Amino acid sequence: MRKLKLLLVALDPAHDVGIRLIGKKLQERGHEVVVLPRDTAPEEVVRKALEMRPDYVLVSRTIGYDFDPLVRLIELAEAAGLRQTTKFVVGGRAVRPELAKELGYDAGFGPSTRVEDVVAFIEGVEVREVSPALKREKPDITRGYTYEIRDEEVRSLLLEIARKTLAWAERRTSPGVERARLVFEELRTYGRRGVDMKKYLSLCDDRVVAFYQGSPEIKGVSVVGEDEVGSLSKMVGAYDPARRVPTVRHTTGKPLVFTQFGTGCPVADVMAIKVSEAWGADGVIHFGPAWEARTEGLLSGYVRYSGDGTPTTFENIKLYARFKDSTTLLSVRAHRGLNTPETVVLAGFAGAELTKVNPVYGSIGGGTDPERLVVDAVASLKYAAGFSLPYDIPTNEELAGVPPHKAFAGMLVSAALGLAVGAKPVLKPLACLSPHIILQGYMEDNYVDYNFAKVMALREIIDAPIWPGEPIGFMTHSEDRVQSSLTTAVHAMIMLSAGVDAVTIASSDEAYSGGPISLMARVDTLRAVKEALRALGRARIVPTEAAAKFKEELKDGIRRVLKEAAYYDNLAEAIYSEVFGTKEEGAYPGRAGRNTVTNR
Amino acid sequence: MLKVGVAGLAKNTGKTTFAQTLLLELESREVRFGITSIGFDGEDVDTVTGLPKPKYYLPEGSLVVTSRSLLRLSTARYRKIREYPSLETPLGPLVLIETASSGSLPIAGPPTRATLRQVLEDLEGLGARLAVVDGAFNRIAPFTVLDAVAVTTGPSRSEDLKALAEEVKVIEKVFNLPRFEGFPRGLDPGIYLLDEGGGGLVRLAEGEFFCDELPPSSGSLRRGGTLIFNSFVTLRLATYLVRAVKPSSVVFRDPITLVLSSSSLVEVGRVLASLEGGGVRAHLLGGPALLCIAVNPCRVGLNPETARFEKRCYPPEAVLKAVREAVTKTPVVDVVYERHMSLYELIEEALRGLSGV
Repeated sequence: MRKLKLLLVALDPAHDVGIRLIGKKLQERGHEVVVLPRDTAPEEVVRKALEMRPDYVLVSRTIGYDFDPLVRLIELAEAAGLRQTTKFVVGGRAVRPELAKELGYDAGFGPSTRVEDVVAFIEGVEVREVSPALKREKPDITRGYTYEIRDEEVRSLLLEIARKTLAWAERRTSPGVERARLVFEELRTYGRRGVDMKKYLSLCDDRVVAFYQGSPEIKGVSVVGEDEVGSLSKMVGAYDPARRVPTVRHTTGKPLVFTQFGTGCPVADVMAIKVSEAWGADGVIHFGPAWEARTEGLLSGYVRYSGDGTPTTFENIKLYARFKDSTTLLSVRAHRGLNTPETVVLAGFAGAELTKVNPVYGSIGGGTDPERLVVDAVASLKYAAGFSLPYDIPTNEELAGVPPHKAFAGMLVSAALGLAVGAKPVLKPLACLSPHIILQGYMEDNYVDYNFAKVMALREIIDAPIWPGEPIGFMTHSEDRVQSSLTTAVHAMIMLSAGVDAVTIASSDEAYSGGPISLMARVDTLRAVKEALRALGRARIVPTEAAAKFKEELKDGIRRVLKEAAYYDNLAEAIYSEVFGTKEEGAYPGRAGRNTVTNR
Repeated sequence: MLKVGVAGLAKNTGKTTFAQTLLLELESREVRFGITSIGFDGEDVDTVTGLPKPKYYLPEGSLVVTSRSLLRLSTARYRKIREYPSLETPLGPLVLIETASSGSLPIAGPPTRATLRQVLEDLEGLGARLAVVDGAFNRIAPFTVLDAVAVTTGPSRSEDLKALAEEVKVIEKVFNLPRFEGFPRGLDPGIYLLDEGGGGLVRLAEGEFFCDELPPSSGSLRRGGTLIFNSFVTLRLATYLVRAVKPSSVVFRDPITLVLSSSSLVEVGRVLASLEGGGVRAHLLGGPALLCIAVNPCRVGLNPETARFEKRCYPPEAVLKAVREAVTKTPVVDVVYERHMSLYELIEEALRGLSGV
């Protein structure tokens, strides 16, 4: 590396810390550095530059919009003939590349610039990462986990329930399973959607058939024009491909941070993905519209919906996979409806990295008939295993009022089913203020103990990845964007301290709108979580002794539920019998797809 | 090729509006032209105030030098003629394009004198008859390589119309100082004394002078002759040397270096008046001519009550009157309210007689 001559000055009456830090770092790296006293007159800076003939003059100015000293310096430098041999770089709160250009400087560094960025620029090299954990690579959330079930009693109960349920499901099929088989065979053979439509549509609801016949009956659904999809290439292509994709994480490899999308329009979804990436999200989760879960059959093509959630089509998912950064994880939700196996198949072929399956929550919180969803879930998990797609298991029935230990028992059964067929589960406890927690007063003092207890209980039961969502801090958010961002950030700190592998975060308008609406609100929480993880670093929040007590209660509760579930012939029967939640607790077995299961 | 710059005495004094008006006239007269900027112009909103900015609407066939990253914002179709990988700006390396259809395009061109000279040569090589260079803030230093400059001013520079008029008077004075022909070209930067009594040319000091300290050789200063500042010399030091040497004439390098020699234009005017009063003739070695003064009667300023930048327009007649009364021979135009004026004819008129143009 060539040793450089560098002249540094803050053209500012007060703020020169940044420039001195940069000077110190450059000096450490062996360069000849002269730092002038702050607020040196531009004439004096030029005089020194003429004497020293530096390779670079680095100037900072922090306050206000008075740029006169910066302009005067660059004008005098030109008049002195310095511009041909010396590069002038400006930094400061208000500086952007456009402003640096207008001021006549060769480069500009604005807020959030790290000392390393400036040093790398001066030395003409790529920015070096300050920590290996910050280096963004495509993460494998399941890496390092053995899936050993450590709790002896729980293990034998789960194995028994899984064995009986798999044997029961083996003899059954459904329109969802058959459609998935059809789509799988066609995609495997042709590598594209060349499905025998007559056969496929015979397994679909009328309104899906109508869509394929060109007369859409589903209100709000329309086809996205090729020109709109084509415009994405231009918009996203304008992005510098060599641009470094950041991460919200600071010095620790965990937790990965996910955001959710499902604007209704696949083109807008891609922009949401790109914005999330640009502000450091490690992964994104696709959400489909609610009607999709209750409808037999999926649409195809680039399809939009005017309400919440974007239709799950092969083309839409491929669009996400095509435009996302190669290091960003894409999860496609399959867990709760009549298209669960087919969604996993599409996700696998389209290039997603994760999916989501939980027959218990899908049945008692998602509106699908338990028998149907258990049969479909088993088929889904086999596909997930075949595609090596880890699947996460949400427990959002807790938000309806189901006690956490029951939701966890259902989650563990879903995990055991997947493990039995070779799939890799990811546990998804909620870090939330759920009705049961409010009733029991578990969080009257703090949000730390009970959320810790959930993670601790699961860790003691099984060696598996844990990813709280969707999203963390659920029911602690309000319509206030500042409050909303802060509670998300605080929950991220608690979850980092609890040692989880990933978190899903809301946007700051989520409580206000019932779903992420604006890109700015999405950025709010990504920025807030980044600051929170920066603040915590490798330090940890420590719970009180109450956490251990809650943990034991949770484990006891899980054992009780599993013992009860093991009495039944299969998981579906246990769900009907309210083992995983009663109607009083808000668990209503769904009706969609009832009586559609047939024997093979 | 004629090279014309648009220099502002402050931001928001109408540089881009002036340049845009000129371009539209060039199009109607079918004059092939090139356009670039030493700053960043034609953006949607101002980089400092956040207020909307005038855009560049370029006719088909315009030659444009801008930064590569801005091409994606072009609504005009274009053909890339040349890339300048070594001329890097904060917005990417420079490129030279020719528009294949009319449209808008932000312009961020060469920031320095040397790079400006280089791209101007290319524009000339492509057959441009006129090159227009937009300025930025109150930057003017790179314009020494141009033939002429239009200077823009208005209440954005000062709401005190008397002060505005005073500055314009100085600008006219500085740019119209007579040219000195008796100094050989190509000499090193420094301070020289020409003894008209037969003593020849003596270099008093070498280099540029950004502080008010006397050069080491000033102890042996001779009296009389022509004192020539062929480098940057602060106005204070120049004044001191004039007092010490008592020359019959003093020569400054160019009007732009003279303007930059003090942070106050009024101070420059005061020194020139004092030279004149003391019988010392002031000259320039070279530099661009003054094309005209353009006035923007609107001001963009920070409203302390709302903490926002806001635009406020003054009666254009009052501003024009104040500026017109301050000058004697320089045309004064208002490109916002006096669109009937022909800037092209103004250029022809102002540059008639300029040698080598």
